[in-house]
Amino acid sequence: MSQQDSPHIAFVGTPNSGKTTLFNVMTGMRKKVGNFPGITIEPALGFVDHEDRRIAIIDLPGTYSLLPTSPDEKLTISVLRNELPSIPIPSAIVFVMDATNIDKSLYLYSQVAELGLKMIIALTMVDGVKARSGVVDDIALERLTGLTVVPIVGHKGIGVETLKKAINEEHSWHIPNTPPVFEEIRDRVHWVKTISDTIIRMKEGDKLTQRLDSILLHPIGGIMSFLCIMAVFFQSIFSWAIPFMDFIESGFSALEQLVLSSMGTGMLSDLIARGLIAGVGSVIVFLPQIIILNVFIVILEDCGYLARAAFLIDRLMGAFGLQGRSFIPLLGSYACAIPGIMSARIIPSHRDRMTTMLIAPLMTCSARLPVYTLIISAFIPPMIVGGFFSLQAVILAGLYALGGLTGLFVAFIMKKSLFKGDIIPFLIEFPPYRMPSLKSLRVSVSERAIDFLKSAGTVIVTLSLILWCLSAFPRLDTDTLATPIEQQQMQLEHSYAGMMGKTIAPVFEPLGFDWKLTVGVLGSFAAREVFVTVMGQLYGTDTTDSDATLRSTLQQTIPFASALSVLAFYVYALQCISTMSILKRETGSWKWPAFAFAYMFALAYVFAFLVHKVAS
Amino acid sequence: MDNTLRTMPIGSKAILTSLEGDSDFIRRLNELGFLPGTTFTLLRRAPFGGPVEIGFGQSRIAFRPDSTVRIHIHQFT
Repeated sequence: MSQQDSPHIAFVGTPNSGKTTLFNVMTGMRKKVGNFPGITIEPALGFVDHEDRRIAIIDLPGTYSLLPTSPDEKLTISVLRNELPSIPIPSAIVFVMDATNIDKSLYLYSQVAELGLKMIIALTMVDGVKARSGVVDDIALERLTGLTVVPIVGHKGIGVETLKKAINEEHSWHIPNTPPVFEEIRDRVHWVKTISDTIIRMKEGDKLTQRLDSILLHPIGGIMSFLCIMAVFFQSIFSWAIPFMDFIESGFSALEQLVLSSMGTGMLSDLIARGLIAGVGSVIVFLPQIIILNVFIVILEDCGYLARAAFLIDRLMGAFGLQGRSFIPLLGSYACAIPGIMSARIIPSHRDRMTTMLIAPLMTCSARLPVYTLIISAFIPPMIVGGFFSLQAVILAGLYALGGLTGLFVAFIMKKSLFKGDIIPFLIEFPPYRMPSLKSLRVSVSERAIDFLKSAGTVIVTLSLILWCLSAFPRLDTDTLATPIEQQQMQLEHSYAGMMGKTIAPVFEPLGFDWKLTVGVLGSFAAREVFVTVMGQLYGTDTTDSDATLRSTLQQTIPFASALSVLAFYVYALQCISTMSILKRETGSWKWPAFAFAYMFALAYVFAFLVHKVAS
Repeated sequence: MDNTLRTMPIGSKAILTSLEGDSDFIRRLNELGFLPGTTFTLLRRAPFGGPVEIGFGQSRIAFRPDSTVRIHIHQFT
């Protein structure tokens, strides 16, 4: 960390304690991703400004105890025990205590208090206790712990300023009263109970949560509402995002045209337009989907529904050797495997987490969509089947389902072989339903969007530039009689990319790919949707004008069986360097991305081969 | 697995008598306050033989009662 000498504060608390919401509300958008070498899971780092001081805060993952069961929890414990060289031990801890779930919070507190670090208590959800006709005695909590207690209503921001002040005044930090020595878990639980009875009294249960759960967890109503929520989820990613994506695409192609027309047809303008602008555009175009997906996931998570969804889906996931929590990363992977793989950290079992991450790239991410759309619209007739389903839509839905089902099947095999062994059984706590904080939502979503742009963007832009170089060199003396599009086509054929395509083409020949399709597949390693651009260049049509010309050209030149084979190949192949680099980061070695690439390539190759055989 | 969590009526109460199986899992259940002697209510079962949800004190937890844990309970009649 950069600020070695100045004090830094750690946020510690149980899962669902409102810790991250409070962290987001307090640190706002001035967050930066911490640079902690040697750690796969990076805690969020933010700053709190108060008067003229600035204090660094890290948000440690929530845990129920100091005996970890997941990699997330392990990080928190290592930091608190000063076991990580890259994160110095915090000068003080803000212990986030959930007033509505005080027993769990006090249990963790009793362990953290034993460490002898200076602490402040932030008592969240005080309003939740009052809504249940309860009383909170924060003075008694101060007396019992010997600490400063700041009551908070996070989503309204009440208490936030007081907490900022306390964080900035070292005389508000105290070493807590030492709790008794506990021999067993039972003794600790008992002690917690006596303390919690003194400070919190709640007369009734959470009526709203009970009422909502009687619908949302009902055997029939629960499944129905789950399916409805999923339908809205997919609808939002695919329909609501489209206008924004179209807007971004047309914006970037206009920019490309502008550069090409104003700078002439030189090498430099081509590099800027077709290399740089097209590369940046191919990343930004996913931003609407990434944002919508994350808004959805963060809202579902913050309001408490995601735990219920995991409960409902656990049986189905269990049939494939996975568990309810795997559902969340896999769902996210339908937009993009990168955020999906990152969210697999919530899975405590190492084996389940690995399996989930390794099958995540099989979920049909949005980068496959442009390829599917192009091929389907060119080769599948727009006829109606079964009364009112369009055949094109049915095929598209089939490809989506195929990816997901294969993923579950692969998970099943992995859990029987590679990741065999004791399963940590599924265990989840249901938090009460809560209104998500808009400020926290905004912070979380923009943080994830920036993370995507950084991790995917740098790789994709670099590869687009490399790809551009491969297709622009060696230069071909252009025939002045040829049209610009023909010149482009000839250039590509004579370039390194063209040569590579021709050299490697025999490998893909059994799948029915010619050298042009091979170049398209190779180009896709930067990002799958690059296939569309490469096809446009190879077949001498300008994709920026209209896709219709490219479609009819493809229809006339590519055999039907090869087109289906391309679709089959894209369902499975892991053609995404960004996903592989995230997999490397999350698993800590290149071994796993290499493994994922190999097994997915094998699947893709065999399946495309079979499809080609059957279709021709 | 002990069938009683699977068969006891929804909304009925029981006392946990003992837990056996995966030590991490049992420790976590204990840490969450689910210890032998705890009186709990079976709140619901997920469809198609999925996880069960139990309530005790102010806690509500759900878990999958599968072959790796043995949960012994004494059901009130």
